[in-house]
Amino acid sequence: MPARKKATSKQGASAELPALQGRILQGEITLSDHVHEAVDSLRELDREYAMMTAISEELARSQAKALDAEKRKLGKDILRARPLLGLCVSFKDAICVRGVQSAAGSKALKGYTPVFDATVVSRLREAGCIVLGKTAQDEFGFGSFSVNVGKDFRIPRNPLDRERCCGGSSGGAAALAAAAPFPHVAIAESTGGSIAAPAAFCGVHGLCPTYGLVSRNGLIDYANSLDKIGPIARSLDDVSRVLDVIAGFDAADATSLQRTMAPEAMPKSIALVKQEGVAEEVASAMWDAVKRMESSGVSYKEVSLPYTAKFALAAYYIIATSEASTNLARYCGLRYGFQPPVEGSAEEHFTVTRGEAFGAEAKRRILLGTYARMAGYRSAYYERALAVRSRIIAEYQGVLKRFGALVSPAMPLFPPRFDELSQLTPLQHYAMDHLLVGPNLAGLPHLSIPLQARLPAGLLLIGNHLQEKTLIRLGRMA
Amino acid sequence: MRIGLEVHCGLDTESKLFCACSARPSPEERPNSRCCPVCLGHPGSRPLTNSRAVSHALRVALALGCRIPAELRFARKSYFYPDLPKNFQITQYDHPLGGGGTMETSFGSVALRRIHLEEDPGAIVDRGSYVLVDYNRSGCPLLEIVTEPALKNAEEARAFVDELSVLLGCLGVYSPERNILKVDANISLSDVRVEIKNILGQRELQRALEYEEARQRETIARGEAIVQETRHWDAALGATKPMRSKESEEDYGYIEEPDLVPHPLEKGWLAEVRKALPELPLSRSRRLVKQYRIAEDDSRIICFSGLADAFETIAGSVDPVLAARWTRREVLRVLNLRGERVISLELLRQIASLLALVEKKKVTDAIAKELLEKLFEKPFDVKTRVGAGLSVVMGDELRAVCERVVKENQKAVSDYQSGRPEALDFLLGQVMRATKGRADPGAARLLLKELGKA
Repeated sequence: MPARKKATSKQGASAELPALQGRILQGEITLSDHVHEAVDSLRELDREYAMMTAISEELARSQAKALDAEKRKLGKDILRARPLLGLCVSFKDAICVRGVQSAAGSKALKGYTPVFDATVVSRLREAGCIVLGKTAQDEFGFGSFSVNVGKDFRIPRNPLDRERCCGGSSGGAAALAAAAPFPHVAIAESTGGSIAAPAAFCGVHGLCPTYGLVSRNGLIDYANSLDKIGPIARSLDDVSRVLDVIAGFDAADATSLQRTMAPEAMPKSIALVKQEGVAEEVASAMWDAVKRMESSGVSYKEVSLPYTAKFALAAYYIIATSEASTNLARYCGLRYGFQPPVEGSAEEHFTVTRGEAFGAEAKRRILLGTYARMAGYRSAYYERALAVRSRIIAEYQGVLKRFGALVSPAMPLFPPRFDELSQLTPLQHYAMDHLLVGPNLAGLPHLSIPLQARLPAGLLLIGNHLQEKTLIRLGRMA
Repeated sequence: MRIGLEVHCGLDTESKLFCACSARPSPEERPNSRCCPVCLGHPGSRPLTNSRAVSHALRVALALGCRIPAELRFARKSYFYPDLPKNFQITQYDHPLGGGGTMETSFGSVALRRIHLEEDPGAIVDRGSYVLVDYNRSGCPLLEIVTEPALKNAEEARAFVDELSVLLGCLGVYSPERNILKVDANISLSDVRVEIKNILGQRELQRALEYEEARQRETIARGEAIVQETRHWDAALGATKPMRSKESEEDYGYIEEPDLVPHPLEKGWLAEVRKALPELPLSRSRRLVKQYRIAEDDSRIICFSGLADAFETIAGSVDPVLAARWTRREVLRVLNLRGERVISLELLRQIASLLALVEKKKVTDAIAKELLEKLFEKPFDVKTRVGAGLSVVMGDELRAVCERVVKENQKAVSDYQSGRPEALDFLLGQVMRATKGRADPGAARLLLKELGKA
């Protein structure tokens, strides 16, 4: 992708959307032409990198046609009603798009087309975005490398090196964000790090917002108390533009926040979280970024979060799998999704369906989560994990009282090659999340921005609740 | 013997507990026509709590003197069943809407354990070799009321549920026509508890408990041990059948419902709900005793059977003591006989004018009882029927007159038997003459027909 290199330069990427909108308003190009080209290059990319689970060409074309008609009527005024006019968006497969297969990367939902749009989908469509399709992910979000895709799904490949993984679980989203030769923002989702991890591995920007800032209505659940929807994009401007549209109260989601984002502030100091086991090249790239911020007037200090470092990973996996094991109960081949021929009793049908529908990691997490909430173990695992979570939030807030943001690498290493990944045990896979589960458990916003290194890596900025704007501002200085 | 009950009662709200679908069945609705992504458990759908259902439940909790938690919280109860769209039910676990509490009944106070709100699953329609599922009911609000094992026998258990349904109706949260009422019972003769599920209606409850008590007594008499287990009531068979043993009791793996944040139950709201509570049966009973000087026993039964409104209407025009006695005994008897609980205003007016005649001794008690039953069949104007202040001859008295007329007019009887219907009119004329026009002509005609057949 030689064309990609040019687009990476920061100003270049930020200017892509305004440039496109300028051409549309000048009449140099219609949205229909633009979508035609975009879909063609998307198909080409998908053949190479397998980042899509569905391409919604028909929907994209009809949207373009309608917007072209509106543009003819309104002229330049269309931008006031449709500020993101012409921006192509993709959605992680777990986000419901009406009439387009939304399967959360699982065979259990293969062929399932929702009857309603997720709130993020309708808000972006309203703002003038074009829906290109659904992006590949670990089945139901169960993974950090997008290799745990559901049965009959393809593993997405890193556009910077086909032999390396994209990170996960929103791997397809980050891959498309990195590779799309047209203005594009991927809408991804993070439960325990699934936005920052793939953004880091694909060299793009990923923002996981405060829990509750972006409506989860229409998101196929992994773990409801942890799931957050956020953007992955080539530029911070695109991240910010899209965030402005998708953030905000939604009456359809009872966990949606009434409060809105805090205004942008300029932090005087940041805290560097001491971490074990970070690859040397990643650490030194991070230090370069910290020095750049320092030269712009932001001092730093090293801090440690001992409680979080010790317990966050365990608490995360207990809460996440407990909730997941209840969420996945509904996939039983009765009402929608994958359904083998019905034979025998309901119980037998459920067993056959679930045995065939779920991949190994989904089964592992159902077992883990079910165990953690059973009568004899509930207080030792599930309830204790909830208590640990409260203390982790308190530990973060203690530090965030003194510092504008926390800084660390997003992932401790460069994107692994597929042959390296296959050597790891499930526990080693889980441990890869250790830099990311803390802010995810605490519901804190965090932003991954690309580091300058031999291979893609990400700098992670963690802010207090609703401090997204401040994180974006800090990110521009790194 | 100790009996504890879990009563599941549908709440009379317009919409379902977690979505906007109608909670009210319409007469000719199609299966699965009152559903949406939420009550069908579609991926990505979100529950939103119906605050009317919460205030209904709060009315009950406050009326029963329960402890109210600071926050409303829901939990997920996981089990696999085809009528459960998400294969988990949103219910309450650690923090029920009402803790403890007492239900006052006509036979004393019954201690309660808890009451909580939950969603109803769908309905299984049995088609013999297969079943169908109808989700119209899925997501309708249910209130579960759990007693301590405080009831002494099957009769008390039945009376408890009867009086509970009266109370729920009086609170305006439950309608017997629209909402279901299901009971699970546990019964222990010694220290071993047996649970009985699947009991529909109060009559079945009493039957099931009586059967189970007898079964357990026989088991003990044979020298066998009672097994701790769950049994289900087979109404057609009139027997309880084993369902599962203690070892295979289901583990529901409760977790907090993460899609619904804890909602504060503000003091102001509670005060509002409490203020709007109607007069409850116990305090009403006390008031009626004071105000009308009626017997305490009569008053309790009237109030706990839901007849207080009827009584007060009647007592407006009749001696209250007489009204109380008749309401408690006769009106209740006829209602029980007919399996009804509702009395229309017109009917009440007629009952009042009937009792006014009883008071003035213009009709005998025996006749008044007969007329009361007739009024429930089809209301009529009592005064016209009884005539200008005259008592009506009916019942045994009428039969005696008819028998005499038949005996004295054999010619007319044989005419009637040989196919001349007008002979019956002649006989009826004789009856009216003998009673000076005070006979109930309809009843007399029927009696004559019967006697003339022989």
